[in-house]
Amino acid sequence: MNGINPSAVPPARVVAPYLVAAPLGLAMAGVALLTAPEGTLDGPSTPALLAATHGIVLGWLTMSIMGATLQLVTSVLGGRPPAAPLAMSAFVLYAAGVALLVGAFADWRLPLLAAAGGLAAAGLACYLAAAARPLWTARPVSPELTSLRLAHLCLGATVALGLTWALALRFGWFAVTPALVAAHAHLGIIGWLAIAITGVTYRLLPMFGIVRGATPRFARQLPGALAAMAVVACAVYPLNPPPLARAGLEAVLAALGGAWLADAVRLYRGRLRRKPDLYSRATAGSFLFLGAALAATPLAAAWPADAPPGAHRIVTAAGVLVLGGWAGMTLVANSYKIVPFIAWYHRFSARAGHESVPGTAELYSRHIAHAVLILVAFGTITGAGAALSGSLPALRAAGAACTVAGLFATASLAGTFVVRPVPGRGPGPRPAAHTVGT
Amino acid sequence: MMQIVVDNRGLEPPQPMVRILQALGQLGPGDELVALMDREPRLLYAELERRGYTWEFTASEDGPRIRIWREPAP
Repeated sequence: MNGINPSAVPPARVVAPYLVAAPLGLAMAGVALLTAPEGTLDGPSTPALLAATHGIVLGWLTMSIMGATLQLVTSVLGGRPPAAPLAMSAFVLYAAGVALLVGAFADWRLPLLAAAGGLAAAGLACYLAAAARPLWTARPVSPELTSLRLAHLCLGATVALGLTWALALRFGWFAVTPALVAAHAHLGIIGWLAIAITGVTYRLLPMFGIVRGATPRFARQLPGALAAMAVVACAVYPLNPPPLARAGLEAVLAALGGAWLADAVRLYRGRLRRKPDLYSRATAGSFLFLGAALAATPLAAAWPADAPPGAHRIVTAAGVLVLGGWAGMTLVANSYKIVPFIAWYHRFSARAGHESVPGTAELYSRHIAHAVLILVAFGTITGAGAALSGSLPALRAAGAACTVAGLFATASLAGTFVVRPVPGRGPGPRPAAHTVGT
Repeated sequence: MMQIVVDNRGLEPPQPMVRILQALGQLGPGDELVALMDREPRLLYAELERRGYTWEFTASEDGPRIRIWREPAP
C-alpha cells in the first residue's frame, strides 16, 4: 500500500555527477598511457601504469559503481535515500582526490601522491557514510544487496591499505614491495570490483536483458566465497608465497570467476530481447574478456620470472583484460541503461500519461555509444597486446583510444540530461491495456 | 466497476511506468487498474502519490502485480 514518500527517489544531482564524470577517469588513464615514457612496460608498477590503473579503477569503474549503488539500492532494492549534502560533498572530494592522484602517479611526485591519496580517502569516507544508510536499510536482504555490502567493506579496506602504502612511500616508513602491491590489488579487484559487479549483474542482467526461465546457481554462495578469497589473497601475498601456491590461489579465484561466468552466460542466453543492441554486444564482449583473463591469471602466477615474455607482462595483460575488458565493457553496457533512465525519470516521468514522452533510447546517440564500446574494446586488446609484447607504440595507441572513449562517454551521458530528444529511436508501440470487466 | 489490465511483463524500464500512467487516464470513479509486472515498480510510487492514487503491490506465485485505484472523496 501507499507508504513510500516521493522524496525516496534520490535527486539527479546526487547520483548523476558520479555516473557522468566517471568516464573522465578513463580519459585521464588514457592520457597517462598516451604520454608514457620509455621503460613503462618494464614492470607492472611503473608510474604511467600505476597512473592509468588508478584512473581506470578509482576514476571510471569505482565512481560509476558509487553512483549506480546510490541509485540502485534506493530505487530497486528498497533502501532509504542517502543524505544528499553528504553524497554531493563526497563526490567533490573524491573526484578531486582521484584526479590529483593520477597526476601524482604519472609524474611520480610523492608529496602530492600522499596528499591526493588523503583527499580521495576523505571523499571515500564521506561516500561510505552516505551509502551506509541505503545499504543497511534496504530489505529484503538479497544476494545482490549482500554483494554490495561486502564490496563496500572491501572498498574501504582497499583504500585504507592504498593510503598506507602511499604514506609509506612518502615518509619512508617501510618498503612498498611488489608483494604488498599485489595484496592491495587483489583486495581492490576481487574484494571490491568483482564482488560488486558479479552481485549486481544478477539483478541488472535479468532487468535489462529481459530474462525469463533462466535461474542462476551460484548467486547466494559467490559473494561470501569471493570475499573470503580476497581476504586470503590479501593476507598471503605479503608473505611472498612460492609460484605454485600463488598459482593455486589464482586457480581458485579463476574457478569462482568461472562459476559466475557460467551463471551470467545462462542468464544471457535466457533473455527475451534477442535483437542485438549495445547492451547485448557489450555484455557478450565482457564475457569473452573475462574468459581470457581467467585463463591468464593462474598462468601468470605460475610463470617463471625469467621466461619470456616475463611473468609481469602476463600479469599486466591479465589486469588489462579484467579491468578494461570485463569490468569496463560491463560498465559501458549498464551505464547506457542506467544514466538515460535516471535522466528520463527526472525529465519526463511527471509528464508521462498526460502527453507523449520520449523513450530512453531517444536521449543519446547510439552511434556515439557504440563508438565508446568499440574504443574500449580496441583499447583493451591493444593494451593487453602491448603488455605482452612490450610495445610502447601499441600502449600509446591504447591510451589514445581510452582518452577518446572517456571523453565521448562523458559527453553523451551528460547530454541525456540536457539534449532535446530525437524521436524515432525508441521501441515501437505495443497495445497498452485491455478491459476485463464492467 | 471496470478493471483495466496492463501486461507489462517483458518490458524494459521505463516502458512499464509509461504504460501504467497512460492507462490511468481511462480510470473512472470506482474503477481499478491491475498491472502484471516483472518486478516491483518502486519508482512509480512517487508518481502515483503525486497524482492522488492508492496502490497495492503483491508478489504472488503468479508473478508480481500492482493494483491501482483512486479513493473516493470523503
